[in-house]
Amino acid sequence: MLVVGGASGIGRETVLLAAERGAHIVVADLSVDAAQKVADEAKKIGGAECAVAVAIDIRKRETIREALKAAVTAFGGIDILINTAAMFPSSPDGIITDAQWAITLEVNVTGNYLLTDEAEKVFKTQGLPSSIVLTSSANAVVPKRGTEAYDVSKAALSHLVRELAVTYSPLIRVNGISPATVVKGSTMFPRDRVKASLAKYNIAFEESQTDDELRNSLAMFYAKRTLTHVPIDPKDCAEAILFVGGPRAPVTTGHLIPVDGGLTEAYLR
Amino acid sequence: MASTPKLHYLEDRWDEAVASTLDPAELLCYRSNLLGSDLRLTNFGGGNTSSKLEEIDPLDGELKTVLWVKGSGGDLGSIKRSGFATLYLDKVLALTKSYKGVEREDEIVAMYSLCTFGNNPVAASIDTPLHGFLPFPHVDHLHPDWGIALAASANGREKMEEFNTRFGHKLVWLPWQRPGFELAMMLKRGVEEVPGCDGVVLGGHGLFTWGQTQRESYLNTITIVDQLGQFVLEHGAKKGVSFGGVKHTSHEDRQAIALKLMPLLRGRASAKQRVIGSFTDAPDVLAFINSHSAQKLAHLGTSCPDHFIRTKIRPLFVDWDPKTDAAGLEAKVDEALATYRKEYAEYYNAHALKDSPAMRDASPTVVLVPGVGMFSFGKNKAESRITGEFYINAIHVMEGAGGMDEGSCPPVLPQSGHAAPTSAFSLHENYVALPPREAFRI
Repeated sequence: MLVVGGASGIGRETVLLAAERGAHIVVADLSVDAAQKVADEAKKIGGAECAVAVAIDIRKRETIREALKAAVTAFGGIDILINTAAMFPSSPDGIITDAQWAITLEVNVTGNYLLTDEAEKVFKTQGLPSSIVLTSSANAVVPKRGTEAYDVSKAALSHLVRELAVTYSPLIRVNGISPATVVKGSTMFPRDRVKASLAKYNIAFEESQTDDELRNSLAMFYAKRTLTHVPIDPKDCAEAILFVGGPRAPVTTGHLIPVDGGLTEAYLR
Repeated sequence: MASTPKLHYLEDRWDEAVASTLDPAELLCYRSNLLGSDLRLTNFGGGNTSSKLEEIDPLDGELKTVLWVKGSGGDLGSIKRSGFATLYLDKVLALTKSYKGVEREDEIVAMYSLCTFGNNPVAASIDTPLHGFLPFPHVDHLHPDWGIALAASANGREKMEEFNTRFGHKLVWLPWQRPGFELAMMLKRGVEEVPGCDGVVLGGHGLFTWGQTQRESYLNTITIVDQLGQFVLEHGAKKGVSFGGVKHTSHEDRQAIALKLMPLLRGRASAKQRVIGSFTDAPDVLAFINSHSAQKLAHLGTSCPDHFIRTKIRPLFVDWDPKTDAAGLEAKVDEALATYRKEYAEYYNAHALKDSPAMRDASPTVVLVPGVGMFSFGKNKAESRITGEFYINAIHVMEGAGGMDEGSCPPVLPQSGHAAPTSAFSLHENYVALPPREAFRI
């Protein structure tokens, strides 16, 4: 499998869980060094030849093609494409610039399209039932203020999942997961974003608190808004990704699996 | 040997400072690891070693001779003490009383576990009696390419005698017999009939060497294999041309072609279960696949049982001219694959018995594309890589045998015997392949 965004957060957990289950994995990320570190972790679990690392920028077709070539060179092809890479635009004052809007849509929507479009060529050549899993968000469904660029991009991505499921059928299943906010291990929670969110929700904090302490406060707030009252862990998302993308869901396509603690139902209550 | 002959290709890696600190069982590991770690001595996972060691029997407190022999599976290069089966030697030797002959030789396999010394769960391999019945304290059975080249040559027996004269050895030739108790009986008789012999060439299969001490066994083994290398390579250099000469040149864009072709081949090879692929365009692979004799030799199949188990009865050879448009490759692949699958089913149906297991996946594990390279497939990356490496071993064997071709073929092949008559074997340019029926029975 090719795991894009595999160097951190949900992507990293997906790589490691896949290694436990005997997969051969190409770990792709903007940072090839970070990807290599995760590939090395995977090798300790799955064996010395089970993982390789490659650089990728999903805005650029050429790097996507190179990542797919690396997968073919390493393992002969791919069976599952997983993308967990995304961006969340933030600023200290909460105002998103036009340029930030544009790049958010470019990464979160167009990037996924480019990735799947290139991977489809490999899948078609192989002629084997294959699968794609993209990472959307509970934000695609639940409207709120202050995060329009991100939320709209995820709503578009959710529909891309449904449309690609139609376009690529019957050979390729396309599904997604819709996690509620995953704070742990995410690159999308720099300090300034966390503080802006805590302020938005009137949660008190001190400047002296560490990044992790601030993230934990936010994570617990999000958790209490769900039915299950526990923070969404990247491992929970990895399990869902491998279930819906793997051979145990052979007739599931065009769906988004919520990994959100029952968030939407919590809101209705 | 009066003095240690100079090695031309291999190295004597024995370190007495290390060896002198080891107990006999650890010394067997040490010897095995040295032998197994050099792929010129044996293929990965191939071959086995043994030592007959004196140990106190926990049952009666008496000294017994215990056969330590590499257990089933595993690799010599990395084997540890816990990878060896241990058997009462006298019980193994007594199995001749239970042996009901070659038609029922598989029945004796169940008796090996009854000979276990100590509380050792390691399963004894099919080669166990081969080691037991050779009357030498330390025995090495290896699959060196140079050795199998001789063993798979139509003039192999004659060439072995030439080798013996040249290097002062007394190797014994045995015809092909599948590994098992019958081969053990043949080995026993073979060495009894030639007192002072210092090795056995198993027709179509490999080599047995030995020594009175662990060090002597190691030294005898590497020396004989090195000399086989000198012998085979000198013949090849003198002949000057391998595999009938060059037919194609390698395609300039072969890496790009391979990248495009690989997913297609992987898809075809994954008809029954998903496989992982590997590719190589190593010089010795290209020299083979670009040659006039490649298609014919590839179709004959491999000789050594170890090679065959991974590469299947034969590779898929795609008859494509690299001077033509690569766009035509897909059609050529599918055409070759249809024939391959048909022939595989015919091979299975021709040899399967009532109690034979169901037909294996009829997809090739090795695909050869002239001008491009070799694609190999396996259930994981290591398997796919090793399968390719095994076919490279097979290429070396075919090249070595071809290098010793002197244009004549004996009317009775030296590989033929009770197991298979001359008519059962196929050969080309002095290379003798395993008969399909024998390959099926392995």
